Amino acid sequence: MKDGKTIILGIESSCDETSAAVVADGRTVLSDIISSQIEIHKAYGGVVPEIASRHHLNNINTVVDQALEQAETTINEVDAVGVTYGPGLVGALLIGLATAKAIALCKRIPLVGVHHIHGHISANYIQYPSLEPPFMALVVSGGHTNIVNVTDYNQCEVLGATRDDAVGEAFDKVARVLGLGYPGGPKIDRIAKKGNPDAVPFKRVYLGRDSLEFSFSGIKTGVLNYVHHEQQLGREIHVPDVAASFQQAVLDVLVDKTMAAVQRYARDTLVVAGGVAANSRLRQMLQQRCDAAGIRLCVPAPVLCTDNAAMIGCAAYYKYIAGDTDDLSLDAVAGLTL
Amino acid sequence: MRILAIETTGPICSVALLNEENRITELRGRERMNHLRSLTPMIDQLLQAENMAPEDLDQIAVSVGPGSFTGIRIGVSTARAMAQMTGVRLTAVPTLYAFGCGVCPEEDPALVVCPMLDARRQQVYAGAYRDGEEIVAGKPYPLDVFLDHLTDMKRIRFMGDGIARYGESVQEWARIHGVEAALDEETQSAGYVAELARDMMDAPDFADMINLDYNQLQPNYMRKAEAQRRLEEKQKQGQRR
Ligand SMILES: [Zn+2]
Repeated sequence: MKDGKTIILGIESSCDETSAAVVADGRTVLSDIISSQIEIHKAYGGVVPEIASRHHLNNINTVVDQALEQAETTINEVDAVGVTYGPGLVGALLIGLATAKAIALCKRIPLVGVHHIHGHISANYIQYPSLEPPFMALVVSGGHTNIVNVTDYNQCEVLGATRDDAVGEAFDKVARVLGLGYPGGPKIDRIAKKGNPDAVPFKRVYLGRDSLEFSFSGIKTGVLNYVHHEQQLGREIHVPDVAASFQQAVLDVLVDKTMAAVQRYARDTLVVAGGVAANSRLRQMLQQRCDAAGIRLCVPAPVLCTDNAAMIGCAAYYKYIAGDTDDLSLDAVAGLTL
Repeated sequence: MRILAIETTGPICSVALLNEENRITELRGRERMNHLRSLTPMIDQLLQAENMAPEDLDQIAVSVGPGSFTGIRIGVSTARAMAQMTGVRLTAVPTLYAFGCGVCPEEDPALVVCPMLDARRQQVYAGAYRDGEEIVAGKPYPLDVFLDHLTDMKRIRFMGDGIARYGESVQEWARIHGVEAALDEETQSAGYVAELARDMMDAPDFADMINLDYNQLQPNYMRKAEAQRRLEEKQKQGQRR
């Protein structure tokens, strides 16, 4: 406890960001330290699990120290430690978990395992102090594409997921085909602004009228085929047009299905979470549709969209006050489902 | 001297506690490869059995490698965070050294002891120890290169998870060279780590591996990540061209 508030130390290490944060009463972020490895993995064109794990190990204790220091909080004021236990890279997850468990053991405080997606959704509680469940959530990142019906702080139901590539993964792959480099999401977002989204009619994959599921592997092949075809004809590819057309095709499906879910469950609020929530075109399209339908749209600031420990601390807080804590045998679960 | 020892580099995870009376108690995991699940609860159990809190420890000793990369990281990150929380200092224990010296029998000082861990790609992490001394440096070797170092020796005891994979080749080699070889699938354990850590406390050779703070404790993978090795090879070829 600090100033009468419940203090959670959050830890996140599921992919290539090592992060620790101190959160007061679930919604006030006292610190949120993120050590990104993005520059390291650029040379490999994507995250290399073994290299990510090695860097997590090197960084984590310093990140925890910095989080406490910046929050002007001592470890003795921390009421519980919240940590991502899945889904993610198992070798990366276990660094955060081993650290969190050792903290819980030495300080005799409760350990709270957090589902990474639950964390992403909770980033919205930080951004919007008045936000409360129920609402509909769209979670989009390099590893996930989910429409989630959030019924309570600790309760939700996945209505739709991707059958193959996650949306961020599709962005990364297409960016590679177009020679834009890694990470693909921000690069495509930027260059697409200079292109015509109607230039190339890539196929929108809806998988049946009422389906809330996604498939993005086809469009990646579509872009590849288009590029090869143009090259064979000796025509130069207009990268901004291709990027804009690809992005539009993906986002059309994403936005249509999300809005269908909002309407089907008669929700008045839609929240967006995950790394791809930082995409400017996605934000713009959702804003237009939500405005037209009278729906409140919540999108966290970009720093809360990337993997960060503040969102884990927030999610952990609501589990902690509900008495939902874990024991020291908590394991990392790479393929954890909601 | 109260030392908590952690051994997570092999197939079985274990922890040991050396108490003031120089007595070692050890706990070993029951299943293979569930280190993350079992390590902290075992530490908790061991400390409680001795009625100790983590901050009562004088040193936390960790087997830092070589061995399973994932295993090494579970042990090192647990030890680091414990030290960060309590201020207890850390000892970086070389895995092969602890295992080899730990197995060396006092009553048979001439016996050569070779821990041999499976390093895949036709390699082993191995070393040779006699009467508590390292006689062949513990590191990664192609199996045949390691065995070449041992041809002059008469009696050798091999052990570790490398036996399951390379036992037959070792036996064949021993037959050809007239070496008396005993093979044993015993794996590394925390009791040996505790023993070596205690001896390291006043051995000048190990002065820079004891009393570490949490950011000084480093894993000793003895190998680069595969992707990094390939990338560097590619870059070298690029330069040659
Ligand atoms: Zn994420």
